[in-house]
Amino acid sequence: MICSLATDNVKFTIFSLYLREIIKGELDYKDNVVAVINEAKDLTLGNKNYYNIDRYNYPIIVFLSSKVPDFFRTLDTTNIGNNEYSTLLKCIESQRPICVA
Amino acid sequence: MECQLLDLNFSQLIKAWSKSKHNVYSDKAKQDYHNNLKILFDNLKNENFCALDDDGRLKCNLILDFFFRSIEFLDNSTHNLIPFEIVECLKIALKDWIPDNDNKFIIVTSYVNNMLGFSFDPTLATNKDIYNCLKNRYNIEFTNKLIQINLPKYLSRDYLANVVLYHELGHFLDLYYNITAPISEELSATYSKLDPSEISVLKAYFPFLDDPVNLYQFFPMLISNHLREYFADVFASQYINSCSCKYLDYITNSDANCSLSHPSTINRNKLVEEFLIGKNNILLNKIMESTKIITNLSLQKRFDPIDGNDFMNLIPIDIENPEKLHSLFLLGWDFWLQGPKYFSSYNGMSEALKPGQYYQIINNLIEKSIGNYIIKVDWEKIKK
Repeated sequence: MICSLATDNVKFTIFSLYLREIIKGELDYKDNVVAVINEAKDLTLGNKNYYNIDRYNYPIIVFLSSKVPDFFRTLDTTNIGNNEYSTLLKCIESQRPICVA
Repeated sequence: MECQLLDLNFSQLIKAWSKSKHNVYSDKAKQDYHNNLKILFDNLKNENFCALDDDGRLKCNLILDFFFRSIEFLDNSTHNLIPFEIVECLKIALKDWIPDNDNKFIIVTSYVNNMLGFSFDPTLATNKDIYNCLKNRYNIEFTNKLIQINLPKYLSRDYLANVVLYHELGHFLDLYYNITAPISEELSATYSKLDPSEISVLKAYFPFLDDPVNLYQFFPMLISNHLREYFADVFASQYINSCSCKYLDYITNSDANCSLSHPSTINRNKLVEEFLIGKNNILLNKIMESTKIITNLSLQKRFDPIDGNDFMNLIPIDIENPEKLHSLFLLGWDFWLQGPKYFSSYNGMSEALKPGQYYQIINNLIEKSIGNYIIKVDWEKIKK
């Protein structure tokens, strides 16, 4: 085949699209993004584990939590702004290990 | 993303849709889905791709891909093409795992020109973002999502080979619930701390663990890929016992080597056998525990063997319940492996049936038995 597009890759592509839209001030998908951020923080802090985090966004949550744990440890989820969304966007757009993608 | 390439993609869609728009389906859910595609097509016609920013173009690119994938499968799922009986069996199995299935998923099939071309394409079933995108951009709501299963064109009505479709359904449920992904994370993180006896079992099922290069470079990917296959095998065996092992053994020549994507056939069949006899090992335990924690359902035998007397008399079997329905495949395999000699003499034939004739009879008997069961269940629903 000419190329291979993993389903998780499409999820990451759409999640980065959501982040860019929020940064531009379009809030249609903000709830979806905030839900992922909350889950990633809970996973990082040990409040949740691999078995009870959201099943749909599982690959994104696990990836973010393992990639920037310190960011989630100190993140105030009641006060997320463009700086935080930009950090996550940079992270999500970086090259992922093949097992995650 | 250049808008000319989106225009190219949409031009390709115009050509494909000009044929697919005439599709007729046997059920309302598919027809509703098709009608939504019609509305979506009209919306796409009004898009000026060149006037969109990069993200707008990306969305349209994803939507065009969604549209193409939908018709690829719907084209092979029209009322006279879909392998209706096997799909009904898969729907019944799916209901065990997603009870509100009636309102959520449609199993569709696409035929491929490859005798080993059984596969599951997760794109449309496990990506709800694309549906959110369609709702937000065009206010089109797809209430059902497509579970896309590829199968070999020449085997669409082969009820012996098609037992492997239960394995493909297992892949869908694994991705839908993310059942094996946490095991992979857990094993990657704790492998070195495991008990030596557990490591020895894992090394038997994941032989690459002995290779330090693979261990460090590819461990997560290989573990993840192989776990998915092991899960799908165990999942399938709940319904079809070890039937798919026989076929897998044949098509892979009992391969003792694993690949990047699949464990060795020997290991796959061994795990299924251990599951079916209720033997414990760390791998099976992890798969079963994860399934239970995440879905609140247990991996267990979900077939109830049936008597083959009716088949011997060339009569379809009156199936009483789903467990017996799945058992039709076991019976089909038993008949096939027994060969046509006894069957032929029992039916007073002067000489034994040729394999091709016997093959046709077994497939017809299974197909009719499934068909009768579906009609019976529908009839009982109407009577209520």
